[in-house]
Amino acid sequence: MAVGDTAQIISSGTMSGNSVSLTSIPQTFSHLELTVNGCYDDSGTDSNWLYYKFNGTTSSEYGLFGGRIYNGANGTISTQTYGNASGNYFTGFPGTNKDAYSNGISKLRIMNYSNTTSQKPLLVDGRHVHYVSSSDKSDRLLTGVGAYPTTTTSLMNSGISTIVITGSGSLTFKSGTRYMLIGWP
Amino acid sequence: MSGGQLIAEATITSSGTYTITFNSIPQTYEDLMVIGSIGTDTTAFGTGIGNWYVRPNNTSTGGQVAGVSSIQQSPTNTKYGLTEAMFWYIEESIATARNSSHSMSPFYMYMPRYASTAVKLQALVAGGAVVGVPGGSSSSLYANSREYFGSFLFDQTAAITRLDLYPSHGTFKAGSKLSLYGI
Repeated sequence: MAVGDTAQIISSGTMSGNSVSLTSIPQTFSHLELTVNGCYDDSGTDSNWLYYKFNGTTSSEYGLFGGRIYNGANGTISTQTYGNASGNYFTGFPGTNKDAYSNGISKLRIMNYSNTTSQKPLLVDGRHVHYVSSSDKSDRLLTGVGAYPTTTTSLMNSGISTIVITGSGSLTFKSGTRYMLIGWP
Repeated sequence: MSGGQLIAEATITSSGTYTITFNSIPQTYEDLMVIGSIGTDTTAFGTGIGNWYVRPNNTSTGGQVAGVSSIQQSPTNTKYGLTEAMFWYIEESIATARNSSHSMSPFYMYMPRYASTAVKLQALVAGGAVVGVPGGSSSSLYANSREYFGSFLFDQTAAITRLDLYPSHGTFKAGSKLSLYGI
């Protein structure tokens, strides 16, 4: 890209079912920003995980470290560190148990995603807040730093061209849930 | 102005660059944003992470404070610097086998109203380092990892016209890339 080039929406749209695949991501930008907002269509779910998988890689190549803060119904706040090298990245994502109009935000920022020599570092961010009443409220914040791939050198020889967004288990996305993939020059 | 326009970028193709400078930053945008993938070629520390710094306007006589909340395996703490904002990023650390020459760290900084002389710059920052031994166990993979997220205050009302970014040890690793955007 060149000085003066502007950010562009690579892809955007509504989400349905349990999974959405973003394929043929152009390798011409410097960095990617992917945002998902909405919720699961499940009245039995307060919050569950939302998963991201790159280039079809299913092995333990998803290095992730950060913290999670959640505020339960009684207002207890917990902070923890975590590490995850299983086959995906993740954030929290709400269902409709607390609120029929839940609207969580999940975001990945993937730096230098198209390079073919090094790791693709990234930032993971997921947030949503419920406030049913003063005695029934819940917040979720997950923030992390990641590096893909963690261990296999040959996987560094490809840019990220496919991202699959998948709901936890059999959870499906509620109507209106959407994604937007932005390319930064 | 644009919804996000590339002002300048620095792509490191070989080691040896100590400072990345974005100079003569146009004052015509509302906000600035820096996105980067960075590492250092030093093997100075045994922990696999190093410190690096962001200095606005090449001011080295004080007046700058960084307040950054961090997450470590034993959370949390706050880092302060008086002459620059200090963050963490990945080391090559081949000597300690903590990382590899392929390891990279993310960096994100958003600077609203950077051209204003009526307010002090308050920047949103995020980044860190996933320290990993290739093929290592889960515990060795994440020991000494760091994440930072917080705010960076430039304790002056001067407009931001220059940013210098540099590591505490070594030089930027080949493959590092920093992009400066005007919003």
